[in-house]
Amino acid sequence: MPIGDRKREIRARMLVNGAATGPLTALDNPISFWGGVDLATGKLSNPSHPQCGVSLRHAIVLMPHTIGSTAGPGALLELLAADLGPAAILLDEGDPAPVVASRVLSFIGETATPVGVLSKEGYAAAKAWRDANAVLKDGVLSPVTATS
Amino acid sequence: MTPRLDLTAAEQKSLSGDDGQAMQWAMETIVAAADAMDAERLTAISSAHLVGAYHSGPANVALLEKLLRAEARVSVPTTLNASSADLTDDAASCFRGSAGADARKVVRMLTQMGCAASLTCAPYFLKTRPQFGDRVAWAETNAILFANSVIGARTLKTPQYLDLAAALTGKLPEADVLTDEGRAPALCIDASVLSRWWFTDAVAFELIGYAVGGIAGSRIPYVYGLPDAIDQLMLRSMCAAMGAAGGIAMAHIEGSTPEAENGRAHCEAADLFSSAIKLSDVTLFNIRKTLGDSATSPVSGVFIGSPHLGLEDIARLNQQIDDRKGALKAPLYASLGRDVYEEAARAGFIAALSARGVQFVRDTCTYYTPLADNLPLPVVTTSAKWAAYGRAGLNVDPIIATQAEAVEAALTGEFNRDDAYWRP
Repeated sequence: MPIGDRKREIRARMLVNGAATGPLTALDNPISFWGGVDLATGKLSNPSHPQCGVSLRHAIVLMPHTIGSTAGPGALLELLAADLGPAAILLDEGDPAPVVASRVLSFIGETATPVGVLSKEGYAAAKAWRDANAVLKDGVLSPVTATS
Repeated sequence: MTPRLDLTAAEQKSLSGDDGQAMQWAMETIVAAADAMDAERLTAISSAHLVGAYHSGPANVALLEKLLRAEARVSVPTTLNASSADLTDDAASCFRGSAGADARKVVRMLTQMGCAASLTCAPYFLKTRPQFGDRVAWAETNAILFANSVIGARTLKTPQYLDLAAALTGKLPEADVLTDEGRAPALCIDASVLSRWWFTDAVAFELIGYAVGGIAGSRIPYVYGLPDAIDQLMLRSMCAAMGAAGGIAMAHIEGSTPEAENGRAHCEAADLFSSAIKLSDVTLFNIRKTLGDSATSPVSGVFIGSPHLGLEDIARLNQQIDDRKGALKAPLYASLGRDVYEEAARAGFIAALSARGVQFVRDTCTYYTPLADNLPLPVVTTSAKWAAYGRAGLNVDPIIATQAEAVEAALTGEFNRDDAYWRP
């Protein structure tokens, strides 16, 4: 899907380094990984979230931050280890919860899932690419255009 | 690592692996969290309370096994939160499938690292309760709110694994509510127009807390207009409900919490009072509706103790049930930590209440157990947290109730609103 003629890039401050490719799934509200995501499917499961049913699996997930139970990283770790979790997580504010879950993943011998923070402007710009395929590499997010 | 983070020589040593692989993982985790939180240094903590005492899956087990192989040991006194099953030897069959064995394994590994198997979500009832000004690494949202707001201890809303890393290293990033500036309120909530009849039952503080948590989001609120010197059990209710509805780690409550005067001064200086959000009777009735407001109805059961009951809660329950005759017509499940259970047993409350049919669930929360699965009729709870999680995560229809309504529902098998309390 063509996104535009101009090649665009958004720089992320990476909290956990890594590369990812996938659809850019933008969550309008924060989520809790504990009780907010179905651990058997990777889909949002809290009926009070406006995007309940949306899958996070293999997506570059754009989300404000996490909320809810302090047990969130435990749920996120299991999702990631079971290959049901996001390909990358990009936040609009620093949040240690996804960072520590991803770091546990690398400690137990799996590939860490990249986690980054975008600036306010970068976050808003990335939201405009929602559902496009995107690449995150070396701290740079860019949409995959039809010609690239 | 953030260039701004300033580590001591000892912290650098742990980070470089000189103190072993477990300590290196822990220090790397603390440093990564410090980076995410823009901290400039780490701070020492005097104790920790870990949320991960339940079985969350094989990756968690792999982490704990690897840490144990690397001889991980906690460096500060560390207690464990509620587990996913009642692990006491005399527990009724109170877990699903292999949940009991799995949870036991997780708890055993954590105790091998030196954690105390307290298995309670109410660590403020333990002898290890911190003092005003102590810096600690607590997880479990209700406990964090109680520690920061009511005790005046200082803890981040410490997520799982950061809590374990903090217990191993004795450190946390110095950020957020660990700093003076991080404890300043960002909005005011005015409760002065609430009718005064509310405050005779803890359910008011459940509803107020749920309202405040929803309004505050992730901003620390300064709440005023409530009665002075609210007792700790009611503050406990308010903290638990704030945690269930919001993302805050702390609240100031005028006349009741130890740092409220600082909070007031900040609100005056920042002119936050002029934009205060008012709580009204209608607000609280709407929260009651959200949490569960069925009319008169036969019930499948009554669930109390979310968070875990304290000794005083049990003494009050004993008094209420002792005042009435007859067997319970609906099951009443009371959840509590094993330490409080022992205290209550020594005081004679467990024997007396068990004889009347009250069923005690230790170590876990009833919403992890099959006790609350697919109940055909509404269930009564005094806890906003239980009602909110029960409605979202279990196939049940909760009703939020006063203490007296809950006991009455258990005795009669029927729920009836107590019109003497709930004025129009």
